[in-house]
Amino acid sequence: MHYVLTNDADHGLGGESMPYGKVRIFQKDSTGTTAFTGEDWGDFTPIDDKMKLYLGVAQDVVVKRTIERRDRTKVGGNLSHYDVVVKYEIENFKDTPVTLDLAEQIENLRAEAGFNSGRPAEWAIGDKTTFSGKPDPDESSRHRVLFQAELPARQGDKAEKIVHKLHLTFRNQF
Amino acid sequence: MKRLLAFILMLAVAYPAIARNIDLSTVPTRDTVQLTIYNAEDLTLVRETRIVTFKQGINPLQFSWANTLIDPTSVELRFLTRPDELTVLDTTYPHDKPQMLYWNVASEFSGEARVEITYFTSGITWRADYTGIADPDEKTMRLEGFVTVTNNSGEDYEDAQVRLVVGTINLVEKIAQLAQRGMMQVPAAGYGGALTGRRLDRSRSQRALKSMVAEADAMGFDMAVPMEAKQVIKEGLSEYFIFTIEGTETVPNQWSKRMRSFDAADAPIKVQYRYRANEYGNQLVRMFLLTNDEESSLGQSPLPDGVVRLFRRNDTGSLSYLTAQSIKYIPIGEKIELNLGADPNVVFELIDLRVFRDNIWGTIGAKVRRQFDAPGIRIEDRGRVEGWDEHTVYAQRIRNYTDKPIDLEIRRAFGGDATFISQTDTKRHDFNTVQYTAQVAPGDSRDVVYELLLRQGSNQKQNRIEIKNARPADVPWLD
Repeated sequence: MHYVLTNDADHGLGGESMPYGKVRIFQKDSTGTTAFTGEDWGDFTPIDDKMKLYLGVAQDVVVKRTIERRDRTKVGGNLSHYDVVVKYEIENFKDTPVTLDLAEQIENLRAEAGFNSGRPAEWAIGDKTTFSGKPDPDESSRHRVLFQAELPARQGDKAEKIVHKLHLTFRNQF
Repeated sequence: MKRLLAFILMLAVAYPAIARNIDLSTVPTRDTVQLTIYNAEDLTLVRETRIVTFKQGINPLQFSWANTLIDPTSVELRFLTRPDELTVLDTTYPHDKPQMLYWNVASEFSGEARVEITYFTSGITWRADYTGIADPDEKTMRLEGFVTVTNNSGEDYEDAQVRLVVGTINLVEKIAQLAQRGMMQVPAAGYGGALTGRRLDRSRSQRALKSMVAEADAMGFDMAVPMEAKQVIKEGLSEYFIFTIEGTETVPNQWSKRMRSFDAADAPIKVQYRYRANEYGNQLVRMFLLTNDEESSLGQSPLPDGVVRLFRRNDTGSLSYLTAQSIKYIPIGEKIELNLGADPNVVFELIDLRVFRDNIWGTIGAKVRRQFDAPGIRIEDRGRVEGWDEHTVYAQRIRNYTDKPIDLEIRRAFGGDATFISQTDTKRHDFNTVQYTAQVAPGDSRDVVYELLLRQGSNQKQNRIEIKNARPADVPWLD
């Protein structure tokens, strides 16, 4: 679980750059005291930039990830295209809605699917992808795609299962 | 204070019977002394003048240098007054008095004459250092230069004219070693002086001295000195830059003296951000650029190697320390480049956006398979990819969190047969390095997008980069 703070006036900050240092996070509880919920090193954060803090493992959001499909299309000789579909089955057991960042490391995925040649991966997002919109432009690159999934709060003792698919086509592999 | 360099005029007693038990006259003191100190080597040229009273005939002059670091082979005597009537006949190093020599001077008159003695010594050094104070806006800088002279030569120099030489000269032997060795010892070919150490050197020099003295005796020290001096071949000296310190300075042994050499009050500075991985490491650094010219109230001389300490004056009048770094010799008119290191308020990232391949070539080979349990033939293409073009799209993302617009100059080197495709202002710095510039307004973020085409495998024909002004390939997941 991460907290993301923005160093600007809208968030009661923005006076100056925040230097590198330890951030301890406490949360108010129902008895009026506070509980320590984790700490992290905060990077030097200029005005208007974001500070990202890792607080610990989120145990109430469960993701089951499987590689659903891996198809090879031979082009000629040892040159092939591949189609890979990753399926995420997500359940939010928290009583609040959650925004989940799902980041897929391209090279790791290619190795998992067994066609990592060591050459840079030529990939594109395929039409079987269920995430709406484009990957997060600030958090994605050719090594990693990051999509966000909005998860509703648990209803009573039932968590809704959300299924997302990420379809990647790898071209010109050899 | 004891005088270590004793310069003694011996009375012209019955000559040549002077080799033993001679009477010495009073010691004439130094009249003037000039030190020319080199910073590239441990070398100082001392030029001193003295008034000596001569008698007509042969005058033995005694010169000694006990406990100093002078090079005995470099000691030289010249006559400034009445040079036509005074001649150095020879120079003699007596065996029983190390660190001493006699000049036999033939004089055609009786009376005073001014003589000049020059020699090399080690142990006197100088170095430069600089203090720069930038104004709060970082538009101008006050740059002060200092020189520090340190005397560890074993000799006091009073009221000396001090000259400092900037430049690299060639010395085949270190003066400090020559001072430890005896005079007249010619080094053998491939002399390993650096390995022998001082102690060994000294014992060698003593042996050398003994043999030299023995030779001198064999040659007949008592022999009458001829009136004609041997001819000496003279050589010119190349030009270096010389700093002359106004007036005279007294630098006693083991003392240092720091003096201001210039003070430029308002030298304009340009702030530039640079990325050059092989010079400054893998980071964007902030530079102050000045020029050693008249507009900057500089340009009077080259700036010798030295440490620059940089500060910035704050609005409250206090100083912030920025950096200290060594600069190399800066000729007149040349840029002074001061590296302030990375600026945390400017974020500089290179993001890979996309890779794709085309122009794929391979060898052709085929394998025929027959299905044995049924009719049918299958032909397999066993070709392998051998050459292809690999395109990578990058975004050079610059986020300027400072309150000033910034100028960037970025150099990147690429190996292989490459084409740099971009619409940004790019030029080729060298065969495999491109240079592009960018300006980013305060609070702004900017992506300089470029595509790098690398011809791989058998497609690679060259090892150099070309620049193509065109739109880089699209990035479908982003655009």
